[in-house]
Amino acid sequence: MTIYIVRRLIATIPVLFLISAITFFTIRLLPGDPALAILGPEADFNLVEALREELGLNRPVIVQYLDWMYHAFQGEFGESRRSGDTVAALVSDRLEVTIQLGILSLIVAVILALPIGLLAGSKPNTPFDYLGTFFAVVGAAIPNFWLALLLILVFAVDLGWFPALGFTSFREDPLENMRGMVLPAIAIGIAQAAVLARQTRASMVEVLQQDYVRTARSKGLRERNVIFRHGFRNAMIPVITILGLQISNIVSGAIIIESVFSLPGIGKLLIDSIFNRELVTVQALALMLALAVAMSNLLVDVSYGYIDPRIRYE
Amino acid sequence: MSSPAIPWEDESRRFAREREFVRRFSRRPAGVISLLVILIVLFAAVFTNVAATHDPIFTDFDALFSGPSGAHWLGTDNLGRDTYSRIVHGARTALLVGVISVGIGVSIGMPYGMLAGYLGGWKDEVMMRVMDAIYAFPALLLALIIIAVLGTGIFNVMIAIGVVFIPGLARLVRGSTLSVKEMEYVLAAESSGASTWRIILQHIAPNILAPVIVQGSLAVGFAIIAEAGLSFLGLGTQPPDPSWGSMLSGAQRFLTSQGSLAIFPGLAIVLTVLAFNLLGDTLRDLLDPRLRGSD
Repeated sequence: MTIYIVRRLIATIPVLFLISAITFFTIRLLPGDPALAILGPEADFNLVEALREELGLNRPVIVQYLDWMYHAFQGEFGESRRSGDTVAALVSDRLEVTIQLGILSLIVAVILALPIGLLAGSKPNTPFDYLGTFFAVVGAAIPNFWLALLLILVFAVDLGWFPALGFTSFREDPLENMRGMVLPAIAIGIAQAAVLARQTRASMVEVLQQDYVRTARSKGLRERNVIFRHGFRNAMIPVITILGLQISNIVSGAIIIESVFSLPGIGKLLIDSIFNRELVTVQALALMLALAVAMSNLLVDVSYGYIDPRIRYE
Repeated sequence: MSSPAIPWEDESRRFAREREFVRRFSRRPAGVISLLVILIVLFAAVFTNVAATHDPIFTDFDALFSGPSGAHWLGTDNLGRDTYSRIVHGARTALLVGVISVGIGVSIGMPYGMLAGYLGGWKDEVMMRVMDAIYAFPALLLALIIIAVLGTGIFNVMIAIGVVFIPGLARLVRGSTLSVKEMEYVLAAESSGASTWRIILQHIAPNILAPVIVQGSLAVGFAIIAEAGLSFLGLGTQPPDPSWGSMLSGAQRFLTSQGSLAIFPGLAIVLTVLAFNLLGDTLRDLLDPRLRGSD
């Protein structure tokens, strides 16, 4: 197992470097001048030139990249021009919100998807299956920001059960914090649940047709045991892969949903930074989010090796 | 998978194959209904002046927030603009972004994936690692980085969403190319001295179209949601031009008093995306059964 983990770690290193290069060069090499993007198209030529000098844009691009990487390794991502705070400080203030939202969304997705997929997959071509498939198909077509508006409309405006906007820190008031997080987590989680339920169903249908399941049944095992001990556990292997891919979608979801609910997280910081032309912050956030996704994919790969021993011996 | 396009296949056999495809497609209610929905949306998008009842940006201060009526089928917004006509014009934006961004993704991702798969070895390895790294970026994040540099607006949104599709399509195409390049007709073309691009374009491309068509159809649905999301955030279509996402963004401000404003544009997105997704699923079942349930 250790060899498998080390091999996966080594394979991830070039991807991490490529991610940093893509983040850096996308912003530097796309048509358009970062200095002009920050100051606006109407900006005075001398001001633009001064900013180019300040940002080090007149140096060779490879030198700029190495310099940026050198500082990034030390957690220095520059400063926000608007607030004067370091990007690292801005991020650390907002990390709690996004991590909590991500985890809660994942929990919503799993809690909904596994029973729906399990039921649909173990009773194919029954009303359970049709309902499960309907959920999976429609859930994947609903934009999370529209779902968020509908949830606000029903559960915040009409029923008044949850707040429509704003954030209370968990340390300040855990109950109020959770009340504020329920709707955003559902808004992100539903679409992920749809994809996950579809995969769970497909996986269950396939596994339940395997010879070892037939053997378990012919041994006279109770159907519940067949489904949970033989079917569900084996069906989980591809589901975990999909779950890993969902992390990327949850990050995308958080970016937009934090703005809908005015949650002061990384996603909202990113959108605000784009509007305020804070390219230094955008670049740093993009790098951090992509690295976080790559690392969580690595974790999924490693857990995959634990669950399915065949994988680590490949 | 569909049988390969054979260069010397005669017209009558090709016609028979196409007729068989239409017959099988017509037996799929989900596919037929989704195609009908897409055709209706397409009609609205192309013939906006026929389908719409009002000018989508005309403000009528005598009809602010009016509910559905004979004059305004789906009511009006805070500026008295006709919601139905704005949805019809929004269909044009949605389809345009959907088709063009998928076109950008296919026109770069497909040759890239074919080249990587055909060349093989270390070149393939390097090319695909670059795609893996791009793939590591959450879709919306990648689109946002591009928009941060290029600026807001519908044209840049098309480019941003198109770039998001490139790695996924490149991976898919590379996989198909790996199996097709071992076919006898490709080996024959190689031995007759055909150039790499000639082999890729004439012999490989026609035979890997099926999965690309399936993926393309599913990608249009994703692009419509992405465009709506970016316009919702204020980064895509700019006011007063109508887009389903910007209509929802406007509706958010009046959620407590005029909640119904948020209903119809969202329904338009869901129905259209659902139609593209179901069409994609149907095409996958008919063209490429190996991929069934693989997403």
